[in-house]
Amino acid sequence: MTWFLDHWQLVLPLVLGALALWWLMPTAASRPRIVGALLGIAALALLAGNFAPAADARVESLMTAVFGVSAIASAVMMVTNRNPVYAALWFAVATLSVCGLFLMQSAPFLAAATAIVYAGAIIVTFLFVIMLAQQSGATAYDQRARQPFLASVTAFVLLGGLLFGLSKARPEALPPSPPSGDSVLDDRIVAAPDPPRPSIGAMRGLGSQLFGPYIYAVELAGTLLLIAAIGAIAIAPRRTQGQL
Amino acid sequence: MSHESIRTAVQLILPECILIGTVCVMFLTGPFLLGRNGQASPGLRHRWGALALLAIGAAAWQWWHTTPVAAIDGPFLSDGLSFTIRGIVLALGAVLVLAAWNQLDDRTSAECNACLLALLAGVNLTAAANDIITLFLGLELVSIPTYLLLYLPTRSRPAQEATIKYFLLSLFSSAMLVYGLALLYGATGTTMLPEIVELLKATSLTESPLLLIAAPLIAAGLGFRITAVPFHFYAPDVFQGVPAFMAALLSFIPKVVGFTALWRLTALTSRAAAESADAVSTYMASVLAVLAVLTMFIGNLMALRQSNLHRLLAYSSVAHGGYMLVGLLAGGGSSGVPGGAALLFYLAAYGFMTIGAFCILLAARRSGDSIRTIDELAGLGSSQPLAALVLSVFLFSLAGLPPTAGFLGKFNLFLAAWSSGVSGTRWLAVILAMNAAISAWYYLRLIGVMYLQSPQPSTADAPTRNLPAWIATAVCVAGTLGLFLVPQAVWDAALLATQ
Repeated sequence: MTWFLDHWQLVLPLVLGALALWWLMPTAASRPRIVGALLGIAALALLAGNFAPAADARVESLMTAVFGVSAIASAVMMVTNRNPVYAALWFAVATLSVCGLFLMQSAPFLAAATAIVYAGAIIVTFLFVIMLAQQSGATAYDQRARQPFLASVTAFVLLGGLLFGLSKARPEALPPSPPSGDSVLDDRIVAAPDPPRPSIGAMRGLGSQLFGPYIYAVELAGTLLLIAAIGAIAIAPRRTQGQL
Repeated sequence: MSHESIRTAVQLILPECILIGTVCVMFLTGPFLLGRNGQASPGLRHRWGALALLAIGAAAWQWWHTTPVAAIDGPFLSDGLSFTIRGIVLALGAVLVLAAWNQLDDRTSAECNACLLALLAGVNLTAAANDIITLFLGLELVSIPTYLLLYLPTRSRPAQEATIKYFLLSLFSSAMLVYGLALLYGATGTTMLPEIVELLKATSLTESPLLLIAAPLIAAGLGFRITAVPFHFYAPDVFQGVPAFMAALLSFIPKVVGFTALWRLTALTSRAAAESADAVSTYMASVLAVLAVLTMFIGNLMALRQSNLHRLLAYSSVAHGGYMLVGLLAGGGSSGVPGGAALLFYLAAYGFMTIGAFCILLAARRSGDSIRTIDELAGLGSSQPLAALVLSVFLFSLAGLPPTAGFLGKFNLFLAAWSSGVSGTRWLAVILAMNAAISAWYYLRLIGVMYLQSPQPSTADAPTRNLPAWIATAVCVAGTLGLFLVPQAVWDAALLATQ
């Protein structure tokens, strides 16, 4: 309880905001909208006044827990949901939660890229495919898992192996932890004779790695994309061949 | 990243630059040579085929003028392994272009030839890769053009099924491989292969259990390419559904690239493993040894019951993947035949014989696309004596009988496994010999069908001569017999890779 009292600056606006949103939701019973609006404004005001000093270690661990739990929960929902569209949307939630974890680990670029590529592009593609393929409604074999037992066993064997590995991995066997993400803001041009290895997570570190030692890999990936793009065009049937 | 370092790096991959440059030219000019409604002028495929051969010739010329140097720290390697793999791949790539020549549609021949060149470049880049990212991209540069080649030449139902099966399973295998590589990076903190090898020499499994998970994932991802047994299910169906040149390509190219990547990643055949029998490589070796035994037995036993030649050769390709795994596992023993050299020699020999077998099925067709069932082979000895003789040479080679390259290749693999001095690899050698005996049954049965059964009454007219396929067959015959009669040059190149 004292914890909530200590952190009322964060909790209170969030609770107020949630209340506001809940109040405004379109439900059967009509509510006066002004209450919701006032609640929302109060929440925003509190948040604006008090957000800056709120990020201490306990909040950080709370955030990690929230992101982690929501990632796991939405992944479970994605796998267990009967409706492919909901499954795709839960996948988006799982991806966004993982993005949050990336952010906590000072990997802003990775988080942004994952959010754009997965939660954005891939989900949209999924939804398009589901809607194009299921114009006559969901089929029976989409409603149930194909090999639930084997799939669960395989996934949990892999998970067990990973957890075992992580629990036994000694710190020095891991890669050096990247410096915190402030190198984005650091505007010194690196001109030291022996520059420190740039952090991969931050934008500048990533850029100098991509266009430094990994330039050949980037070019190769470009070739790969060219082949895939032109191949997709070539595979699509022409009008003269009857379809499309 | 100075101009100088970029220039040195590009110098190391000039053959691949030529191939990829030609790919871009083909992709970007190909569509403009078609008419408004997508029709091509007849014979357009000859021009694209000639351009592809020209590019391979130029790349081979560049390759011939490189000298292999010891491992370096740069982004690409130009060591013995990449030199040898390049030679094998360029030679057999030219054969594949010839085999594909008349099976391609005039409309899609530009894209198909470009894909062929791109996947040859992919194999070479995998061999030249010095870090795991380039290695993975090289592998994908083989996979993606393969998906296109599966579906572009023929748009039939079987081709559709084969493409979807191969596409999905290949994607899964790539995902597993990249997962394993990510864990490998997590365990070592570097993407450079030499640094990883150094770290692995100093690390034991208990210190870095991430490797314990990475090794099976990598083995599974690459096991798909070399059709090792739990990952072989796609092979027969895919081989059955695709044209003969694609089946030839699928039996050879994924194996080369898979074994190259395995070689680089396991470092089993390198000096590192010979010096220290460390926990990581013994663990990986035991994973692969189980795969090898299963692959040899299941491949050969399943091949016994096939009546479709493409399925039979698919299972034979599975079994040959097992033989080659034995070579990889035999390692670079201090005495006797190095397993790595035996593996490379066998890869070259296997390439000539399996591509040759598919080429002669293509060239000797009596009706339709190519010879596909055993019944169509009946009486080939009297109706087309030359084709029957040539096919017999390839089947002798696949079975491992003299006077062919297959005999020498299997003999080398056996000697390598036997002379490594470890009891486990000796058992592998014994199992290899047993499997060679089993496989002789179904190869020799085909020869019996060709010479002893009477021909079926021919219903269709004699099709037009497929000259490029005959040239490809001739090259393969020359290779299969030549590697037996004068194997020294190839053997020297293979030995170079293990030094």
